[in-house]
Amino acid sequence: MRNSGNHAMKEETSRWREWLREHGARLLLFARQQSRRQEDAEDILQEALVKLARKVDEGVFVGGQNAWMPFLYTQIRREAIDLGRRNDRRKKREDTAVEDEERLSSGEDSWFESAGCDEERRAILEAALKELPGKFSEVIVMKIWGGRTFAEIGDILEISLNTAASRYRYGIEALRKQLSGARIRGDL
Amino acid sequence: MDPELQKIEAELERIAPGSMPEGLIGRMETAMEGWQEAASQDAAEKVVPFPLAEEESEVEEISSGGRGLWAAAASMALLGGVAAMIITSDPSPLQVAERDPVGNPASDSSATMVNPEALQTIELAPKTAKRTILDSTDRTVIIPNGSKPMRLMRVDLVDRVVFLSPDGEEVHLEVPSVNYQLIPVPTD
Repeated sequence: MRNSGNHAMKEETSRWREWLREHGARLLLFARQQSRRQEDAEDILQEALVKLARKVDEGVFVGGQNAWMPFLYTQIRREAIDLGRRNDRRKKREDTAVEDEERLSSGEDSWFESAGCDEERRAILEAALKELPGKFSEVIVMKIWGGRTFAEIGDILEISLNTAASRYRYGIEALRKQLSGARIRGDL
Repeated sequence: MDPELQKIEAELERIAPGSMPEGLIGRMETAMEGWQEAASQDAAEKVVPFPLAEEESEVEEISSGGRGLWAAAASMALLGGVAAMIITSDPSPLQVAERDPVGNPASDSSATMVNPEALQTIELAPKTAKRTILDSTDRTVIIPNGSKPMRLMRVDLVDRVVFLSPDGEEVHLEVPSVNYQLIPVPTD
């Protein structure tokens, strides 16, 4: 009996691990987009995953495994809002303004794989994405790297499908303008 | 979407989110396995303590309107009954504090020791009951497990109930209380 319990636990463990290997990076990217610090992003993601595990284990999760990702995107966003409210916003802004500047200039806290064929272009795209207002970048992150549909994004953000699509379009347009600026400056 | 924007979109798709280090995957996996511990910690953290234990019995929903008020009136009636037992007791040798010779009713209530045999009960009928909000303050924002953010409001109020004795005498009672309410917070 004990052995079968251990066996079940091991199966469960490997199930989470394999699933995390497959989807963790995308979720962590979204958590990074929703928070200002890498450590915050990891904490937010962990909170969201714990809530998922609890619901699944208790048998109260509505939907199958396909519904885990939309649930986690929603939960990550809520955790980020919660974290933002828990912290003193004014103090946080003061503290992080300098840190963010240092991080951006030093290339730390990268959202994307740095090993690529066009490293310079990736860095500029990433910087441009980070510069975007959050309401645009969150849609872009969920659409492009999360593989979510506009309908799903609308549900997650509690906005209409059309609003989600508009934010995506405006976001991409804003990126284009930023990249044009980079070309004029000679960065590209 | 115009070709220029599609080009940007394609470029974004080419960059991959930073992978999750094995150590971080392990941390997330451990947290997911141990959700029971996290849940018990959450429960302890998310319990919003009321300032005073004795105030708990007086926490009521203002939104229940008339029902809450009549419940308050009923409790006042009980209190009134107890008060009447003391107020209407006859003086006896056991009574420590002497009555005011002028017969000032305010000083009558200063009796501290009463002969139990001399007690008699009278019925007090509630005449009017009024609840007044004295103050309301925004305490904090909490996010209950998996649901929308809620704002915790503290409402200070006072219940004023007037009872009528069989002799037509009015007995005024004032009971201050504190009410906590959760109000949904609109989010974008």
